Formats: sequence, structure tokens, C-alpha cells
Amino acid sequence: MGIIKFIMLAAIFGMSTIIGVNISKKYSTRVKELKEFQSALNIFEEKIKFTYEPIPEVFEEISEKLVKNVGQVFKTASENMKFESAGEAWEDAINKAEIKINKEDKEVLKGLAKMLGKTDLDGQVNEIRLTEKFLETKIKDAELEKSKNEKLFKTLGATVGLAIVIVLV
Amino acid sequence: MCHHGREILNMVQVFCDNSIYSYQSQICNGFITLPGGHRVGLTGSIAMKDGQIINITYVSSLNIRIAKEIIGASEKILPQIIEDGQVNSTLIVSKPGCGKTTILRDLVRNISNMGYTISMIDERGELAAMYKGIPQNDVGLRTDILDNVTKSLGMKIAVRTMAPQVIVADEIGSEEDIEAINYGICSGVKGIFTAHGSTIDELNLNKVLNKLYEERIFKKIIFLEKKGMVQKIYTLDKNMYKTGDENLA
Repeated sequence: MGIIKFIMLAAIFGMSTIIGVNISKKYSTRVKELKEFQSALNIFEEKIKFTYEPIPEVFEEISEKLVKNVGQVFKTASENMKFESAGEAWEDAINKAEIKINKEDKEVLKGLAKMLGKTDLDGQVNEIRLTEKFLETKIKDAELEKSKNEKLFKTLGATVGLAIVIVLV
Repeated sequence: MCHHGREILNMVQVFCDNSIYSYQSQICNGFITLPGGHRVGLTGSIAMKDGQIINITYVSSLNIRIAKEIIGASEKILPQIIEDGQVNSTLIVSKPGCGKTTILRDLVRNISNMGYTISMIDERGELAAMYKGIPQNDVGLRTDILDNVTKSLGMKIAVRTMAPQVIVADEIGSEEDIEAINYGICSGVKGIFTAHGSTIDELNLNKVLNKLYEERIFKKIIFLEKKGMVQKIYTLDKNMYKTGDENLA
């Protein structure tokens, strides 16, 4: 009897802690992914400035240099461009992506869609730089949230778990 | 073709592989080459800087030309160009629309495949129709193509760097072209060119092309009429151009 109760309490404590850790991870993942996107846009800008490569190829190359989730967005976009315009392909890829950034972050990225592939080189570079700027703001925002909430939820999970255990004992 | 602006922009996007910036130099020349050798001419509101076109800000009209290479178009005149294992420097002359470019392209294909190294200066991309570095028309195995460069500059570069046995260009007519041809021929390279005109007398009246005639640069001058039919062939013999039934000083 005692052992079963002990195991259940341990399980409850464990689950609560895990839930807390998972919630806190969201914040750090968001920061990581936003930084990956920023790095990607940087590569994009440099590539087209020096090689004039068309977007589907550039995106394909970028996708291979990035972390899986974010890289997949570029790969999908590149494939979509076979039958969609660049802007639409990019928007679709962002919408369907399995990434942890929030809705506003996605809107910032989708902002690139309007002019993607439609203007001359200077136009493209300016668009990319503008998006990078907005992204920078979002990253600062995300880092602030992370510093506030990451530790909070980790300890909250453990604390709630402990509290439940104490109550049930 | 003149449609709503948005449709046109979408079409241009598709033609440019979703990346208009990467086709910038072609757009500024007024046309885009598609895989298959087809060409899309575009025009609209143009932005200029220092006397050069730097961008077409709003494309309003497209002119799509479906390419058609005719393999075998040069069969009849080939024996005139290759005699005794040598390539004769030749000038092909006709009015516009008689098939000069088609015949020249096929001629190059034949001569190249026979083993001669050819440098082709394809100023307007009509001969080889390069797309991402690959000629969309068959111009032969041993043909080096300089795409989208002015003829005079291209010819000089080719002679200096690609070691050609023959240089080829379409529609020569400017003084710089003639100067470059002279440079090439004096370097020991043969040349096959086309020009606008209709008779040998008219050729003589042309102040620029006249020089080529006077200096007996070409072994053969071939005049074409509609649909690539040969009208007259002049051969250089003992420093005089003859057609076989006539003597010209």
C-alpha cells in the first residue's frame, strides 16, 4: 500500500515537473528559432547580392544549413515555388510549418512575401533588411520573456508537484 | 499582348523563375530567354541612369516569340563554306526575315560537328538561346558561346582566349564590328557573319560594310532571298569577286 502510494506521488511530482519544464522550453525554443530565421535571412541577402541565384535555389541551400524545423520551412517554400509565386509559396510554408514561434512572429516573416522575387536586387535587399530589423525587435522581446518565464515555469512545475504530494500525503 | 498590370507581373515572375532580380540584365536589354530558346520581349515604364537602362519599373507589354530551329537549313550552302578541308570566310547577306539567323545557326552546328572549333558571339541570344549556361538550340559540339555581349568586344575576347578556328556573329554592321572582324581575320581566324542587304551594289554603297568588300576579307559572299533560298554566290578568285557567270572588280 505504502509503496504504491509512493510511486503514485512520485509520478505526480514527476509529471508536474515535466509539464513545467516543457512550458519553459517554449520560451527558449522561440528565441532559438527566431535567431535561426535571422541567420537565414542574412545568408539569403548575401547570396543574392553576390551570385544573383534565383530564389528557389537559394532557399534550397539555406534549408540545408539550418536546424531541422526552420530549414524545413525554406525547403517547403522552395518546392512550392514550382507552382506558386514566391510570395504565396513563402506564406504557405510559414503557415504550415511546425515551428514554435508565435503568431506575431509569423506575421513579421510573412511580411517578406509581398515583394519576394518581384523587384530588382536593391529592392530585394531592402525588403530583407527591413524584415531582419523587425525580427531583431521580436528576438529582444522573446529573450525578455525567456528570462522572465523560463526559470519561473521550471520551478513552478516542481513546486506544484511538491504541493500536491504534500496535500495527498 | 496588353493585360492588367498584375497579370503581367505574375507572368514575368514565372518566366524569371520567381526571381526577377536574377534576370535583371536581360530585362534591361528588353528580353528574357526561356528554356527551349523562346524569347519574351518586355517593355513598359523604364528607369534610366547615366544614359543606361537600369530597370523596367512597370512591365506593361509582353511579346512572346516561340523559337524554331531548323536542322538541315544549311545543307545546300555547306559545300560552299567548306572546301578542300578549309573553312571559307563567308558573309551571308539578305533582307530581314529571309532566314539568315536560322541558316547561320545550322551552319555552325554542321561545321562544329565536323571538327572545327568555333566561337559564337551571340549578342542577342538568338543563335544559341542560352538558358542557365546551356544552349537551347543545337549549335554543335565544338562551339564556345559568348552570350549577351557586344559583338566587337566579344569577338576580340574570343580570338584572344578561346583559340577558335572560326568566329561567328549575326548582323554585323557597325564600325566597331568591322574593326573587330579585321582583328580576327588578321589573327588567322576564319569568320562567318550575316548582314542586312539585298544586292552586291547595295553592299558597296554601305559605308561600313564596303570596307569588308574592298579589303577582300571574305572568300564567299552569299545572297539569300525569301525562305533561305540562295539568290547569288560571289566567290573571291584572283582578287575579284565572281559569280561564275559575271566578273566584278
